[in-house]
Amino acid sequence: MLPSSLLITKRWRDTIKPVYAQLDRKNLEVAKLLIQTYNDHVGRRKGELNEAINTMEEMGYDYRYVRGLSALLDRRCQLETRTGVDPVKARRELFKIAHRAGLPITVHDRKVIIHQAASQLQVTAEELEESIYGDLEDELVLEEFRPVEPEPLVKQYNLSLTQTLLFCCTELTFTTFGNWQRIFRQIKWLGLIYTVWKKDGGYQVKVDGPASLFKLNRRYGTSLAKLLPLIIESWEWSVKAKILPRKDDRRLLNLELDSRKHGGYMESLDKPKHMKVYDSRVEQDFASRFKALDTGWTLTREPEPLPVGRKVMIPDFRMCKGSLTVYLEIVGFWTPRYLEEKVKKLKLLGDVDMIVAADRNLACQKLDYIGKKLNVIYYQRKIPLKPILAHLKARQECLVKKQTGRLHTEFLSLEKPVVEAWELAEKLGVLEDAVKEVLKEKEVLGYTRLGDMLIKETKLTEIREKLEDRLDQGDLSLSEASRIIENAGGKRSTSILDALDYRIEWHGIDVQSAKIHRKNEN
Amino acid sequence: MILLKYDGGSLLIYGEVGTPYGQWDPRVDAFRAMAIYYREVLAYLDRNHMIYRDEVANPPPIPTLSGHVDLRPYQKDALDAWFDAGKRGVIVLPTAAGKTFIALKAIERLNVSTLVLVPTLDLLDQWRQHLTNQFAMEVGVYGGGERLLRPLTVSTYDSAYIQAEHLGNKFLLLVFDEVHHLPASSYSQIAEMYIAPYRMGLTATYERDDGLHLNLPRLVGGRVYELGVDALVGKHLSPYSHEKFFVNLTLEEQKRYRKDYDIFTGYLKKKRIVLRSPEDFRRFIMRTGRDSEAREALLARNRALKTALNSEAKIKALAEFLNVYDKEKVLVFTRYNQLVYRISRRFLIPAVTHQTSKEERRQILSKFKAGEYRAIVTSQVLDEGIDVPDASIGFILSGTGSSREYIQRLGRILRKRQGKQAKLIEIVARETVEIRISERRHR
Repeated sequence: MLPSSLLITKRWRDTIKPVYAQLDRKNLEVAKLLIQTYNDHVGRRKGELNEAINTMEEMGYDYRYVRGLSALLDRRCQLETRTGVDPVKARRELFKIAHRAGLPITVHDRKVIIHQAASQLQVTAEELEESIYGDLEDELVLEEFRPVEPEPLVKQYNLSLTQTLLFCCTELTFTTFGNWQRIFRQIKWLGLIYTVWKKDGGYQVKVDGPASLFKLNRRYGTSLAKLLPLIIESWEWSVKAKILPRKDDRRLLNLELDSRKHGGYMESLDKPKHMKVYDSRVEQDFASRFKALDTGWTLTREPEPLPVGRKVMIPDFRMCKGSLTVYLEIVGFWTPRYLEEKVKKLKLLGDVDMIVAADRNLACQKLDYIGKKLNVIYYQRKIPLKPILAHLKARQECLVKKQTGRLHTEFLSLEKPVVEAWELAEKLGVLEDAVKEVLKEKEVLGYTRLGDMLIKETKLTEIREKLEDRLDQGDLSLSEASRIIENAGGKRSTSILDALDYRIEWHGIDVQSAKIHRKNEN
Repeated sequence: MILLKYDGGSLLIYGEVGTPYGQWDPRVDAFRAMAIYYREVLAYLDRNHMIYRDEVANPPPIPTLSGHVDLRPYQKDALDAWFDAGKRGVIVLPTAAGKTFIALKAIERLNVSTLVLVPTLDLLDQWRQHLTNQFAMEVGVYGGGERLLRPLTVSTYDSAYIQAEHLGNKFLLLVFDEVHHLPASSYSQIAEMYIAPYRMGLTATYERDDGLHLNLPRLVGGRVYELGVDALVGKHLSPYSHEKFFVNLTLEEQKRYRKDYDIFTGYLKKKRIVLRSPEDFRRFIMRTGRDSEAREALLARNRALKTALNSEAKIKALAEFLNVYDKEKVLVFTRYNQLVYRISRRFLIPAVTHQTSKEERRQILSKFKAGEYRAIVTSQVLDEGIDVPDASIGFILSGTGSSREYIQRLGRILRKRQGKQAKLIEIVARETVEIRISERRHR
């Protein structure tokens, strides 16, 4: 983003557009020259660099373009003070001495004081003179410059130009493909309000802020400008904005951009970093309590938007396990009408499984009626985990039952000699619990079941032979036995040892000293 | 049931009820009203016997305050007038008349969570000091990189604007110091986005050149009390005098000045441009974006002005004055930083500009107050608010034509001290446009 004095725009009737720097030879050359200039000034004073840049302006290039680029390059610089004495200390000492001696009226008076202060600080008078204001921007030394290629710099410049114009916008409407989650999260995080409708197979989103309702307002311009880099990351996008060029002028201008015509001009060099995820304590509290439990369900905050008729909805949470997905929407405050609206929305979702948690304090009569159609639970301050877990469990059991039924009738063919239940579940696209359930009763030809693991009988025999060979040579420790089993491709050595009728004789907890015996031996 | 909520600097009114202050917001299916109308919305609902639940205000709890301020008679009158006006309104008193104490008394009497708004970091420090001393409690701060919320909090206008969504429902009393800043179009949103039913504005200069002070009655309340400098000089403020001292540019400077100024006037003549109003000038500036010759002319004009404002002759004059007034505490005001640093280097006195770090600034001011420094040179940053009771002489080496700037700079040296005779001395370059600038200030 650039100082507004460097903004270049073109107006035509009621439209306004930034004047983009074409990616032509001349502009790229200016960019290259500037980057070169910055590079050449590493180790020199910022003042010298500024002078060199001013000279470029005088060479006839548009000063706004040159300064715009250098504003972006300035952000890639690290400046430091390099003086004999710390300037703050130098000033403190010098002003103290000058005060005691009486302010210098003549140039000679001044010289005397400088010398006195210099000897106090153990530097020469010249060094002191240099240090006095060595921390002003012009005196700082360019310590490091992160170089950049001319083309991305010019594209970044064009993006900044657009963002600078958007500072003056009152509302922004966009379409894009993909990246929704981050955009909506950003919208919410910035405290903006959006309205969505469907158009030409995609979504149009209009964004403004709470106070936009009252009057044309540039307050949200800076925030709206922050959405632009996220929007243009997509391969297809369009942006429309209402621009209020002057605070005291009520005339609005239109800015319209799209990926086809303007996408090639812009690119974001510094991708925005990610920021806090939760915007309410209730949500954060719920997430941390849920995660602390080992439910086997993965919890995602603000998942992808769900299409709801003409709008989209981003539920607060998504809980996933295998092919099961349950959403949770937290309704902090509501009126019957609000909740009815929500129900209408949720109905349009089709088979989406959604739990709505509503604040108990704001309950009303229509609740029962609504409750029948929807999984509504109530909360006071804290979202109760119990009903949610119960719902998840019920869903899971229902699915496990269905899957178990299917698996019983299916022929299971395994390839690997050792297979764990979760691996099998993944392979078959079912829940682990369903596999465990089935294995309790169903036998798999050629395999033995050890707890939640299946092992090929031939593999078991192979392991037994290896262990026997080893035992014939003398004492065998548990750690070595485990090594033998693992080298042979086995897992969970103690289960295997047990299945093979070995006994482990423990001496303390050390696996080195634990001895393996045949069960019939002592 | 009707439910009132605070939402990002505005009120949301749920339930089937329209109020004269709310508009239907289809984005959220509720009525929305500006936070400034909080008091009016509640009054409306009460008047119509409506039952509602109010979850708007969320102020930090405040202990019982006990202060030890004794007000002078005119300060008491001002405070009474403010209470009579419904705890809203602007008090207009000259700088150094002790506006701060009126506000401290108001805070003590209302005993509600309070946000004090100030334009500069120095005032931020000063208010924090006053509040801490007065009420012996930790004071919150927003601004200068700090963010701390307490029942009594001081904030810069900038931070209060940026944080409006977050802070808008935390305070019941707003004190706007130097309230003439408030009507600027972005700052006025502070008044609109905060719910505080009680509001006090303080200033020495109520009127603004752009006429925007006409919005103050809506934002803060009307002018409830006013006294001019003359009413207080002698008893409560130091007597003061004002003089202009003319200097001649050096020969070399004169040549440079003429050359640059002729480029500027030559261009205007060629294009038949007349610059009479600020609007004319703005249009001219716009032109410099398209027309490189116009830009050349503008740069030449700025160079000429700088030659006049930064003249070597002024430095010489200042040297003589410093020699004559060798016992007095002195503030030197200039328009450009370049001259600030030149004077600082030449006379070895500390400088305060917007580039000075907060820490160093604080240190310079406290040493100046303690008498460890005799003089400070500054650009516009110290125009407002700093308290230096025994500074008695102000030099204006250069400035804008704004009469407000002049009154404020004068205010810096008016604080009463026994036997003090304050002096404001303007050093102006002869035969330059600066003379006109200087005349404008005394309108």
